[in-house]
Formats: sequence, structure tokens, C-alpha cells
Amino acid sequence: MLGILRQRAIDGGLAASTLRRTRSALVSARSYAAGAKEMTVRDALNSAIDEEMSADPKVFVMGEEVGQYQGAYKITKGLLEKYGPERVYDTPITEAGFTGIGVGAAYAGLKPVVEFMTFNFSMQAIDHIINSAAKSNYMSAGQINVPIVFRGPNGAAAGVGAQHSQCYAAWYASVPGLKVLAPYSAEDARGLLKAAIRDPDPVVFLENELLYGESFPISEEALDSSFCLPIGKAKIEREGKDVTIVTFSKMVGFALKAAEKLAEEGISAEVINLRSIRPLDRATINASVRKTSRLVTVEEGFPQHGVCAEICASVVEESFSYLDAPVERIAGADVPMPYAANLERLALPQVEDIVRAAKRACYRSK
Amino acid sequence: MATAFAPTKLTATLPLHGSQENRLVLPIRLAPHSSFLGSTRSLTAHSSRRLNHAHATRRSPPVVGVQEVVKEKKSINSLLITKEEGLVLYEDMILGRSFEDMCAQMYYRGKMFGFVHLYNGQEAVSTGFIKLLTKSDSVVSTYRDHVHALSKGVSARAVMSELFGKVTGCCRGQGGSMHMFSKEHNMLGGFAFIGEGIPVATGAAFSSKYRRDVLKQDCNM
Repeated sequence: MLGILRQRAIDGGLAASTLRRTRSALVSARSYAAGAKEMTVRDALNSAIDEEMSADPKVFVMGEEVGQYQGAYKITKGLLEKYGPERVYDTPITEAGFTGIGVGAAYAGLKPVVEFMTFNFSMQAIDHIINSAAKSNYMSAGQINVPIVFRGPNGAAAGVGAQHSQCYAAWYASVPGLKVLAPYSAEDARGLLKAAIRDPDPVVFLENELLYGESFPISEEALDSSFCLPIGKAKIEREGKDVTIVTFSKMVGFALKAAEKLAEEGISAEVINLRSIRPLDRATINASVRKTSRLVTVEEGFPQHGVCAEICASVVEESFSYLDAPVERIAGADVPMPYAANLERLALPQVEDIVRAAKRACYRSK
Repeated sequence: MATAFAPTKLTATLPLHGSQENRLVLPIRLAPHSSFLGSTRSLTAHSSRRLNHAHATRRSPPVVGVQEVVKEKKSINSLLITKEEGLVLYEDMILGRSFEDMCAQMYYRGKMFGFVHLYNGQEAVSTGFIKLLTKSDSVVSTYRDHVHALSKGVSARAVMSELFGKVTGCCRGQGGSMHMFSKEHNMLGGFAFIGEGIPVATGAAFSSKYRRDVLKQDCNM
């Protein structure tokens, strides 16, 4: 994706501001992009679902409050009016029920987009996600494919307590047969959701509640209705040469802020936005680590058996001789998410933690 | 409890006299040591004796009822509660209502955060059920659990502190609005997921049966 944008920029197809945008942090680029549009992640997801529903009549949406209430987080706003109750289903509060129904519909060739109000509630339906959806293609030797998308907010929000704040990236990404995506920016959200809906296999689409309202600059190409991002390719959000910071979802924003802080101290950090947790883009990660020789991985979820653990293992296995420092892992605290605001802040990675870890990685070899 | 006792059946055998219009007859006197135990034992054991007694003598009603001020009421209400018990229930309901009103205020002022599920209007349910229980009985709640905790005996200060995320809260600020636990009061929690508490409550009830039947413990405290 980045390659295409770069190519276009070189050809002069896009304004110079776009070239600058692709190379610098997305957050600070807003001041550069004079004529470029901005879009919230919420609108990006809404437009993606809308366009895919109009392109393919087999796509339908189901979940709690997706219809009349316009979506618990307003992601499915306007879809009931546009497509009617036959394609936008308000389900009763039974994840096990409606997830199973969605999987069954996908077996028979339809393309459901199942919304979980948060992925914590997907635990009520996890049997259907794993056993009915993920494993079916293998168990049937390819006879059945399950073109279903499970989407919803994942990870911590603000003060919602232990049972509403868990990150499920590691759990779902460990299952063969699933694809797991985690967008960060509006462009990620649009491109990856469209790719997920078009994908013939079950996709777990992990959004983030706190990112819904955030605005990101978006290119003309991304606004096109045929826009699609490839599944399994990470994006280098910021190029650097001293340390590689690999992360996904909301932590990409934190990593970019940390990279700004590190730049002030003379450390040039390369920030990689995974976009796709499964399949993991090991090639991009390892190529970057071979360039910088240092790795810091960041995630919001619990530390043991997390996404960061897998990335560290992959780098140690494939690029060990290139490493100049031990790999660093920053994850959420190994504790159920506390309710009190000060404790919650302590339980989640902050920009300072990423900065500290990057500095540790840079000084260790000295 | 409702099936063991039918108000209409009792009142039919005990008509009010004109001189006693302003006092409703309560044929049952509940055990004085308990705070409102609507136990069926006392109902079935004493009710028939008292009815016969009152019927025979008609000298004075055995117990003074609650609705002393309602003179206009034509229908005969055989209430199960004394005035004192009624005040206990009333206080509990008022506590629940004013607590939740204050929660709403604090939430809209931004002092509380996350999820807040209020119980305004349902106080009678919490009071009516939970005040029948003893301290050793357990309560399993939903995410709408503030008033259940209050009715069970958790101090309002502890619940409110919990909602503010303070360490003086009943769960040290770690649980939050939807997760009120108290070991002392046998409040086995609020649960966020819908229906989550039902199997948990069944298990707690099972443990009571198990203790009695298998472990042969004395469960009457």
C-alpha cells in the first residue's frame, strides 16, 4: 500500500503534501495536509460497511443495537434506513445465538458482518467463532468456507472495569483458520474492513472504542469505493534507523508520540503498524529489525502469551545475529483491569513506558 | 412465601368492626428477634390459632397494623408487616432512591466514570426480597447492583466510595459500579454480562445444600 502511494507521489499524481504525509507521523501531518480530507474512524467504518453492502447483496449486518439505535457506537448509522430490516438485524442479547446463526448463514453462502458490542462479549460466542467458523474450512477439506466478519471494539476503554476491558488479539490470533485485523487510522479502518468483508474466510476485526472519534487525514484513493488494503501486510508509519517499535491499534498513536520524544533525544525510531495480527507480517518486522538491530514491541493486552511474545520469538528465531540488544516487550499490567482511573492508567502502557523501553534498547549495547 | 399465605383467605374470616375501622388487623405477629423475617413457619403455625382466637373473642385485634392513617380504605388489607418493619423497609427504599439520585448527579458532573446503571424505580424489588434474608444468605446481582448491595447491608459510604474509585470503597476501587462484592455481607457480586450471575447463584445455592447434606454442617444460624 505504501509502495503504491510512494509511486504515485513520485509520478506527481498526488500533491507534495501527500508525500510528506506518508513519511511523517499521521497525527502531526494534519497541519501539513491543507487540501486533504479528514475522516473519523467511525465514519470510515460506516462508509466501508455501506459500500460493501451496496456492492454485494449477500452482505448483511447483525448485532445488538445495530439497527434502530443506529449502532451502540454509531458505526452502523443510517444502514437500517438505507437497506431495510431484511439486511440489518437487531438481535436479542444472545451472542451465542446470533453468532451461531451468522456462522450458519456463512456456511450457506451469505456474508454476515456480526457486531459484538465489545469483544468481551464474544467470549459468550467463542465456541462458534473458533469451532464452527475457524476450523470448518480445514475440517471439511476445503468444501466449506465461512465468509464471515466478527467486528467490534476490543481492549480497554475508560473506566469500564475488568469485565469490559480485555484485549483479545492474542487469543484469536493463535487460532489457525482465523484472520485477525487491527486497524489504527481511518484509512486502515476502511481498507481493512472492506478487505475483511470481501475475504472468503472468517475474519476477527478488532476496533478500538477510544479511536472511533479520532480524525485522521485520508487520501482520495482511500475514499474510492474499490479501495482495499491487503491482509497480512504491516505499514511502516514512521521510518527510523535506531530502534524498531512494533505495535497495533491504539498503541500506534502512543508509539508515534514516543518516537517524537525519542527524536528530541537523538534516537530515530521506526514505528510499524501491524494492521494484521494474523497473518503476522514477519517479513516487514524482521527486515526492519535487521536495519535497526533493536526491537520494542507494545500492546495493551496481558503480557503472558501476548502478541508481543510472538513477535519477539519470531525476531529471535529469524534475526538473532542482527540484534544488538535484548528484545523489549511493553504490555498491559498482569492484572484484571482495575476500575479506579489512576489504577487504570497504571495498568496500561503509556508513552513514557515506550520511551523508556526504547532508550533501554539503545543503551544496552554501550 | 406468597403461596403459603393468601391475604384474602384470612380477611374473609375476620371482618372489621366499625369501631376498629381505623386500625387494620394483622393476624400474625412475627418473631420479635428478627428484623422482618417473613418466614412461612410463623405464618402457618400461628395464623390459624390467632384467627380462631380473634374470631371468638373480638375483644381487641392482636396486632396493630401499618395503615393507621388510611381511614377511607374500604378493602380489608391484612398486611404482613408491623409499623416498625414498615419503617425499616421504607428507609431502605428511600436510601436506595436517594443514593441513585446522587449517583446520577455525580455522573453528570463528571465525578463518576465508566458505566453507571441506576436502580431508580425498582427499590421495592430490592427491599422486598433482600430484606427477607439474613446476613448469612447470599445475594448475586447484575450490573445494576448498587441498591442490592445497600439492601444487603453494605454501607452506603463503602458503595459510594467504590463508585468514585477510592481505596475506601468496598472493593478498593478495583471493581467499580458493576462489581460490588462484600464477603462480610455475602454479596457475591454484580456481574457485567447479562445472565452471568444466574449460574453463579445456582452454584451458591448448591453449596448450601451440599453443606447441609454432604458436609453435615448446621446451616441454621
